[in-house]
This record gives sequence, structure tokens and C-alpha cells, in this order.
Amino acid sequence: MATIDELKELMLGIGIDADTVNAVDPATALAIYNFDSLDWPIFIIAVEKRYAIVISDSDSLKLKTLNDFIHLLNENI
Amino acid sequence: MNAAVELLYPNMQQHPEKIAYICETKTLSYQELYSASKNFALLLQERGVAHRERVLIVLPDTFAFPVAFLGCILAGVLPIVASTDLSVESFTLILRDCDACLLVTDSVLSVPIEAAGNETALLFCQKDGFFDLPVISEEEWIPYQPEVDDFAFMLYSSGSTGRPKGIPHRHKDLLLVCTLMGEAVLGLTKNDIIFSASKFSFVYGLVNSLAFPLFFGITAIIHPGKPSPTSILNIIHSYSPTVFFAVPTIYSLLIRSCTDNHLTLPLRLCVSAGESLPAAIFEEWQRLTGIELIDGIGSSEMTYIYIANRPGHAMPGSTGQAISGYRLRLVDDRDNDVPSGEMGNLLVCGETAAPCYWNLPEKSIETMLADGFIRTGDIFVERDGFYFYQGRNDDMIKSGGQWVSPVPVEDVLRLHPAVAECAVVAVSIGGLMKPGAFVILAPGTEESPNLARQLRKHVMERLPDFMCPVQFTFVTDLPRTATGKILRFKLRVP
Repeated sequence: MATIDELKELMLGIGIDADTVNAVDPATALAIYNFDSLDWPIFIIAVEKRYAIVISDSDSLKLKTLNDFIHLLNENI
Repeated sequence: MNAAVELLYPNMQQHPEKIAYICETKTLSYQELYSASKNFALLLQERGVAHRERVLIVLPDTFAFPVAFLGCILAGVLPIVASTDLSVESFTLILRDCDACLLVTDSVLSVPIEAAGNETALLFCQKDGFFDLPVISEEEWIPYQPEVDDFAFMLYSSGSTGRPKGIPHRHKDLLLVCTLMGEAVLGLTKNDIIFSASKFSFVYGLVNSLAFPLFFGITAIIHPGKPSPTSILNIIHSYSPTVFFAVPTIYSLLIRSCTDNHLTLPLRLCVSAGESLPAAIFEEWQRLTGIELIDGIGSSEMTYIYIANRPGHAMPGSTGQAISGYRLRLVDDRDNDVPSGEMGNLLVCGETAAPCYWNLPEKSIETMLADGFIRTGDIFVERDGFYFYQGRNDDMIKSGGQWVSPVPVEDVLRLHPAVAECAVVAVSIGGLMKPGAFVILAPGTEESPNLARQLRKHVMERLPDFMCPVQFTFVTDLPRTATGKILRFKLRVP
């Protein structure tokens, strides 16, 4: 089972600052926290590598919140 | 024919009080745009800037941009357009390459100012996006009447070595694209309101926010800041544009910002260009908004889009069909036409093509062929008249609508003590192409969880964000030729 804490650790690992990571509400779109066009692909790659999964193009567009990531991961790992 | 005259004068005659531009809470009427542009032209004349001299414009999207751009063309001066995101080295190369006599910029943009040094005169716009233009007598002033071979404007695009190359265009090019694409494909009319997330400094944004509005007498919304999902949606909801232009990366960010099942927008048309549009983004945007996304491909060399889907008939995953006025060929490596259904290098021919690159005669001969076709560097497959993008036939990467050459990124990475050798290639994330780096570590350096982050930070401190690799793959060897040259194409996504 993937956890929110694990995903937040990954966010810290790709260089998202700690204050932002601590503030992230798992049900709120990451875009609200200024996840930009660089953060998204880097985070998706980090998730794919950490959980050894491949996220399809269409699935990647449905990943908007940390809860979305948890839902996808728990269906696939 | 002076393009600025053709774009400004009909609006002056038909609706001088109509709003030409909305920027944040301010507006600029067509009358005000004309007066400011004319005064800018007179200012250039007063400063002794001669016909055909070059003026580099590096400005955010405010009223100052169209005023300076149109003012230059009215005066017969060649405006050179460059992105505000470039490095000091790129600005220096551009200033020297085009031998600019003047840099028009904003005093908050330190990088172009540093590049100008003491060698290029400066002209700053004011905080409100206007210029402090003196009142100059305009008696007997008439706009410059171009000669047949005169260029109207020039853009710079990244070359394969990372060195920017100048792409000059004639006056007619800016007008023809309005008929060929704006009217025939998009059906633009004076009743539309345009909002382009792509900036004036890219040819896609220049046509969207300058040529189209003035040609059709449309009001355009411009936004000086970075186009975030929040700012874009605020503008759309505040000003109700009818036509929205952006690159696929922006559409993906908008989709990801919306957690509701439906997004209601007042738009009649959404246009995508600048990079290949994945079918997944097309389908999710349509599901979310109910609006078809009209994809197209164009280039700075061709002025604007030459292949596009048609409203009401868009095919997901396809860039669309040839636009009337353009001829296309798909050829093999010996320039023989390939049959339908087979991959080929795309050549395009049309009246809006740039005749050459600036100061690059050999590159011009290689790209702009004697029969009028231009080598695009893109690989396509054609089926039933629809074109499907297959990638590049060189090492260039189109990321977020901007060209990335691997060379400067690799040069910067090699400056890091942990990097012995590296290669930068396109990787596909969510269907969008981004730079990815393959790295051989220096002896004694070990892969660690923080190393990729350190390398990314190292690049971001030296290059614009869009050039930064999103993926670092640590390897012990890289594919090479017999002479040791790295074969990047063997590392690319298939």
C-alpha cells in the first residue's frame, strides 16, 4: 500500500520545498501548490521509479491530487 | 505594402474606439494603438535609426510590445523578436548577429540589459507598459513604403548547436497567415475575443495576439506574467474570450488543475500548436470542457501553422490536414516521395516561407530548397490526407513549445564535477516530449538519491527551466560512432 507520507517524501526528494510539501492537502489539486510544467513530469517519473509502475498518458492526466496517486498506485501495486 | 499599415489603418477607419488590447485591468483602443505606434516610429526617426536597421525587442506581453513592433515596421526598421527567458550568451549572440542598433526592453529585465552592455543603445518601456514618447511633429510624415525585398520582422529560434538563428520574414507573411489559417480554418471574425497563453515573442503568439486581432479587428487579451492555470482561468472567466490558444503543456496543466468532473468555459474554439498534441490530452480536454481541441503544426520558418485539424472534424492523435495554400511532401533520405502510410521527412512549400536564415548562407541552402520547399526536420506519416507526427530526424527537442538543443544542456551538465560524460535526448512523459539526460558519473562518484536533484538544480541555475532535464538515467556507457561521437538517436524514445 502506498501512503501519502511516501508521496510527500518523493516530493521532497525532487526538490519541492518542505513548507509546500507540509501544506499539501491530499484532496487538493497539486496545481494549487504551483506544481508547474517541470514539477509534473519529474514527480511522475519519481513515482514510476519508486513503485516500479508505468503510468499511461491518459492515466497521468487523471492524477491531480495525492489521493489520485494513492488510488492509482493501490490498484496497480 | 507595409504590414503595419495594412493591419492598423482599416481599424482606424472602421472602429477607432474599439478595444484592441486588454492587459490586466487596462485597455488600449485601436486609436491609442495607432497613435502610440506612429509616435514610436517617429521616435526611431528622431533617434536617427535608419531604414532596415535592426531593433531588438525583448518585452513581456504588455501594450509596449505591439507598439514597439508596429512602430518599427511603420518606420521601415526591422524589429527583432526574442523571448525574455534567454540567457546572456544568447542575447549577446543575437545582438551581434543582427547588429542591433537599439534594444527595446523593460528595466526589470536585467539579462538582456547585461548583454547589451555599452555597445547597444537602450530604450525602456515604462511601468504601465507604455513608452515615454515625446510629442513630435508629424506633418508630412508618411509610413515607410517597403521595397519588394524588404524584410518586415525577424525572429530567433534555437539552432541544432544551441546557437540562435535569425528567421526574417516579408511584410506579406504576417497578413497571408490571417487569411490562410485565421479565416479559412478558424473562422475568426471581428466578434471574437482572443486570448493566447503563448507570448508575442514566439511566432505562434505573435500571430495569435498581434496579426489575428488587427487583421480581423478583434479584441485580444494579453498577460505579462507566467501563464499558470490559475491566471489563465481567471482571465477566461473575467473577460470571456471566444478563442484560446496555448501549447499542449498548458492544456495538460489546465486539466490537472481541475478536480471537478466538468469545466465550463465560454470559449467557442481552443487551438493547440507549438509541440505535438498527445491524443490523451485531446480526449481529456474534450471530456472535461466539451470543447474540441484544434491541433496544428507550424514553424518560425513558415510564419505560422501549415497542417491543422478542422473544427468539427478533428482526429485525435493526428496533427490534421494540409492547409490550403501549402504543399507538403513526405520524402526518404534521398528526397524521393514515400507512399501514403510510410514515414517520411516533411517538406513544406508556401508563400509565407522565410527566404533564408540571417547570416547563415550554408544553413539556408540546406533548409530552404531551390524548388521552394523547406525541410522541417519533422517526421510524419500520412493516411487519407491526415498527418501523424512521428518525431524529429535530428536531436532537437520541442519542449513546452520551445526548441531545446541538447548541446548547451550537455555543456552545462559537464561542468558539474559528478558528470564525466552525458547525452541529452527527448523523453516522453504523459505523451509530451521533455529533455532527459543519460549520465556517466565521474570516477569516485556514486549514484545517490540526491544526485539527480543536484544536477537539476545545477542546470536550472544556468539555463531556462524548459531546458532542464526531467529525467536522469545513470549509465556506464553511451552509444558512439567509431570515432567516438555520441549517437543520441539510439537513446531516444522509439
